[in-house]
Amino acid sequence: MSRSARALPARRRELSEDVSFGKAYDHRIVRRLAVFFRPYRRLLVAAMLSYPLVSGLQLIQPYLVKVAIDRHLLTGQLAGFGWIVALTVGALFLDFGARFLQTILTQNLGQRITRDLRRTLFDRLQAADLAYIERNPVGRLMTRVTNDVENLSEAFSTGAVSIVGDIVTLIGIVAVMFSLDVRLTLYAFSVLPLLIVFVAVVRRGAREAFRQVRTHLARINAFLNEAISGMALVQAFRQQREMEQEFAEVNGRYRDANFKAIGYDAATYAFVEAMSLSAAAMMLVLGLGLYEADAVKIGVFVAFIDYLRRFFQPINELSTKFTVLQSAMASAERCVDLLDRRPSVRPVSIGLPGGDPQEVARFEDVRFQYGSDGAEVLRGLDLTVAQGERVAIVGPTGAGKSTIVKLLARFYDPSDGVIRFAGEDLRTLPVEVLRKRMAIVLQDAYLFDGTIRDNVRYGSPEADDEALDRAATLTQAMEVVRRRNEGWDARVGERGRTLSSGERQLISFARAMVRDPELLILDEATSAVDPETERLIQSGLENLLRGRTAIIIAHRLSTIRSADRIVVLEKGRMAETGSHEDLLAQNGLYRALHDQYVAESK
Amino acid sequence: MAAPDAKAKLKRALARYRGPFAVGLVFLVATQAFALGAPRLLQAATDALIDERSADVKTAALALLAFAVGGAVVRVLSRIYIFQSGRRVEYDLRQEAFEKLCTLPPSFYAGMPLAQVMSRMVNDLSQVRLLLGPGILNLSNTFLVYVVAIPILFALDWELTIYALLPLPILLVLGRTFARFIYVLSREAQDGLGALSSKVQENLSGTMTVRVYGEEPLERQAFERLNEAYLDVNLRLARLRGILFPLMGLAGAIGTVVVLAVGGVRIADGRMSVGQFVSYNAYLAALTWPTIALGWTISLWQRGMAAMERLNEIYAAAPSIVDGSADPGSLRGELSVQGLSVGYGDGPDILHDLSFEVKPGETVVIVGRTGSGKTTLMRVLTRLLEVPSGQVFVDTHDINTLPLDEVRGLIAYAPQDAFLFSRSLAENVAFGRPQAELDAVEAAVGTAALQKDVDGFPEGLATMVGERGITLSGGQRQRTTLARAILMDAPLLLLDDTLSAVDAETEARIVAALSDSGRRKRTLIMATHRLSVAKTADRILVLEDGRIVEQGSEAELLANNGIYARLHGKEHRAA
Repeated sequence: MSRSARALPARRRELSEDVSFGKAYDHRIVRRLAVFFRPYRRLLVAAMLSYPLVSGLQLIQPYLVKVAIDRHLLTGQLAGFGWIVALTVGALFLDFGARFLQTILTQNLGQRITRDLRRTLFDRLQAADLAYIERNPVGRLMTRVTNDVENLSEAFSTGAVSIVGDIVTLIGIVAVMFSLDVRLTLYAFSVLPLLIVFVAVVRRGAREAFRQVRTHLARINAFLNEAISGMALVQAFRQQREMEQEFAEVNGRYRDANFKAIGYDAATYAFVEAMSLSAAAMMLVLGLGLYEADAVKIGVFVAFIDYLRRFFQPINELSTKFTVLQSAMASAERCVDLLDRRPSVRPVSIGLPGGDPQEVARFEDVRFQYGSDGAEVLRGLDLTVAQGERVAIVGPTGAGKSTIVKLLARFYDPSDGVIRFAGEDLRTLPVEVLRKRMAIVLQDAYLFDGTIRDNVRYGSPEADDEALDRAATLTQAMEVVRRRNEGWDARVGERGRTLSSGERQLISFARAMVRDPELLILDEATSAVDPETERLIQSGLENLLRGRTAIIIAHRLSTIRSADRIVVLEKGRMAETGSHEDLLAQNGLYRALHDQYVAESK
Repeated sequence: MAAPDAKAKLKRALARYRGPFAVGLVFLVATQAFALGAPRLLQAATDALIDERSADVKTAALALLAFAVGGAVVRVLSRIYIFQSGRRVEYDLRQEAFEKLCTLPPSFYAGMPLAQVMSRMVNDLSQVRLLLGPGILNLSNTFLVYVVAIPILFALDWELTIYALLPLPILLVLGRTFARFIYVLSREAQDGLGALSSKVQENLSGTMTVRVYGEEPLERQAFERLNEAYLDVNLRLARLRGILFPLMGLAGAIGTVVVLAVGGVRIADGRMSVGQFVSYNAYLAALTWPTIALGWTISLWQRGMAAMERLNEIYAAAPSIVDGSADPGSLRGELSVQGLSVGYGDGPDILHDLSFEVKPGETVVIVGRTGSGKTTLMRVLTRLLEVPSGQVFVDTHDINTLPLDEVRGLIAYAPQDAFLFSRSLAENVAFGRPQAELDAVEAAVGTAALQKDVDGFPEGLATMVGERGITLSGGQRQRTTLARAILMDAPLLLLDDTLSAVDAETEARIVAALSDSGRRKRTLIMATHRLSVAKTADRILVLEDGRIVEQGSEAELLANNGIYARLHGKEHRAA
């Protein structure tokens, strides 16, 4: 029996897509989003009022024609006919005005609400747990703020929310027809049961077909995105043929899904058109007796023909609007999920007393695990960093080094034990105050699209150019500025891609230097750079660290040696601590790590 | 330049479905015949009603029913034939574009980044599809209605028709103008949304930095600016739409008022029957919508053609890497580079006059700083980059004369950026050998020192990675890439700085496993920053500014006391 790698992941195809469809109206979700309507209550009321207005104006014209025919045209009394024409013109202009108002009001409401929603969602992302951000791919979270909100806005702009207005129109037409003549109305609508049966039969299939179309389009996009990103690999590994076949499958499924949707769409459209004519035919045949008995005048027949056309037209659009509403509701549900997410790290008013302000950072028997089911990363860590002390933390991958950084910056709270900053229980300090007092240099220096100046000033908006110059000179970032024609104003591009990784590190040193922090936390970069940049980094780093309390997750032997104290971490505990010489003499884990490193670099 | 090609391309794509399109058009003619016949029947029924000819009313009404049913049937058929053919053409165009993309080298993608390729494959293609389905349908419809309805209207009452049709040209111009404005504003809105997306993406990717530097307010401000700008363009768009659609309705309705006023007088005079009045109105209504739609249809065609031209940039791109046809028999994988000078496209040369040889079974390490040309050299060897003839040889064959498949089959490549597909880990490792047995996959995972990580994943090798799965660390990604290359079991293994994100300890384990795993010795070419790896090499090439400045064994290079010796001393001291 051969088990190939392909056979393994049977679950892949069923993995939940980000395209889900359900109800077109979900009360729970609408109620949750109601707060966003609150600031625009008056706009909402005005928009709501415009719908019956437009519907009402639609009903006038056929009625005027009826009056004209019955009172004037067939009787030959043209006196007063001019008024009817004038009224018709008036109704038309009113209709124009009312529709204009309706669009403007609805769009203003919709666009403003979605703007607010986007802002709130973005705020939620700023405050969300780091774990949430790290667990979800960037693309998926981005979709919440952009595409999902866009789907909601679409519901406003395509007029899907006007479904309510359509229903008002339908009711209005039926009411006017009934008031003109009950029996004739019943005759005309004698075809309606057919429509109901048709809708009942077709609805579920149509909904499923449109769902399939959207799902398969999303798959095509995802597939293309990935295949094109990895095209060099596809070619180097000679997988073009396989990729083409896979794409033909995805592409073909989308086409076939469309075939189905086209069928439903065409059937619905044609059926409703036919209904409109059939209703007129039924009315004429069955109403014949009424006319002959003089119970109904000819103008009513003419008006009814017009009313019937106006009755069936919105029905034709209902299914399209329904689809848009469904997709909007699914998007709204995903937005609500993000809205309701509350950060788990919250300030505590009373902390544990008894800290020493001279100890800049202190871990007391700290335990920590990621999530409730994760393995314990820290298992009773005790660690103190005194003022002015430079502590290097070393240890094998997975010993919990970077977790220490995340706990100190309070991205997470420990599951047990206490962490103190300058003697105070970390949890009692507001996060922004805490982070203001420290600077963290991450392994992978992240730069934002903007100038070098923007990036060095990042986090210290009050710093003047002189301060930037000083910091850049000391940390050797000035070299990066000098290499650019535009100097400080040189744009770094998305993620700083116009800079080399070494240059990005230098910029991030300068950024930390400008902050002049009480505590510097440094996760040393591991990726090697060319020797020239390496030299700059070494010298910049030394200046950045001089005279500063610092915790360094160190990878370079030189950085480790220059520390006042080395802490060797193993399996979430401090295994050894002391100076470089002490630890070498101890002949323990540090010795083993050190020897291996030295052997490697010979 | 691309213009005639794009049109020709579209014509060819359409020609394949000439039959179904033609059938659809025939049904469309039938649909219009039924649709435009109906008002005549309504007229007959109404007039018969007034004259109390009950038998005639019934006949006309029954005919109307028959027209309704017949019309529905042909309407369904016309839409199915035309729209389905449009979708078929869309399928073909998309498939062909993708297959073309599979042949295009990295130099093409340097000129057309992912976002632009995607925009062509998604947005432009859907514009072309709109042209093919609704575009063809609407245009034919409008044509048919005009040809049939206008003569009927004139026959009914030519004088009235002249008045009633006056608003039509206005409608047409309005539709065209507004369509253009709306298109421009929609583009602006698209850009606005794009800017918002980029901001969110940047914010999320740099979330740690944002937070540790407490710059959430700055981020909010930046987002808010873009958010407001987006609101602004959307509101402008809303105002335009708010005017456009009611205005169209108004202009269309003016015709009906004319008919009411003029026709009313004629009914009173007895020159027009009520039935004629009804059918006249119906014909006028039948004309109004296609006229409004015509403006949109025209812009649909223009946009569709413009989109087709952008799409044609993919179809018309020449794959600069041409497949060779020589039959080399079985290759041993001896590489010989003689005076290689090459760059990307029309750009300046990146590599200058490179000469070296790699014998089967050798380990060659290429060192050099960032930008010295290491990655470019790797791409040359995998034939992802076109090289001039007579400079690169495999077993004495010029690399350009060999079939691409042969060359790439000889080489397993682990590129610098560790790209993973949204599949299971096993599928990612088995990417180049989808039929590989699980044992082999596991072995490769073991050699790449990835086993421990795999054990920690929720579903082991079946764990989904990439966009839809778990996020791997940089080191884990690199080792997955490495396992993928190892599984190819190719005579040559090319590692482009594949171990830069793993720590020294892990690196040592991997290199050890790579060198003693072979039953037969594998040729290993590694580009690296780290000199620690270099000491295991048979030969070291030192690259600087695209030139080989030194080559030899480590002992030779150290004795040489040149650049390598200096680099070595520096790194050693730094440690």
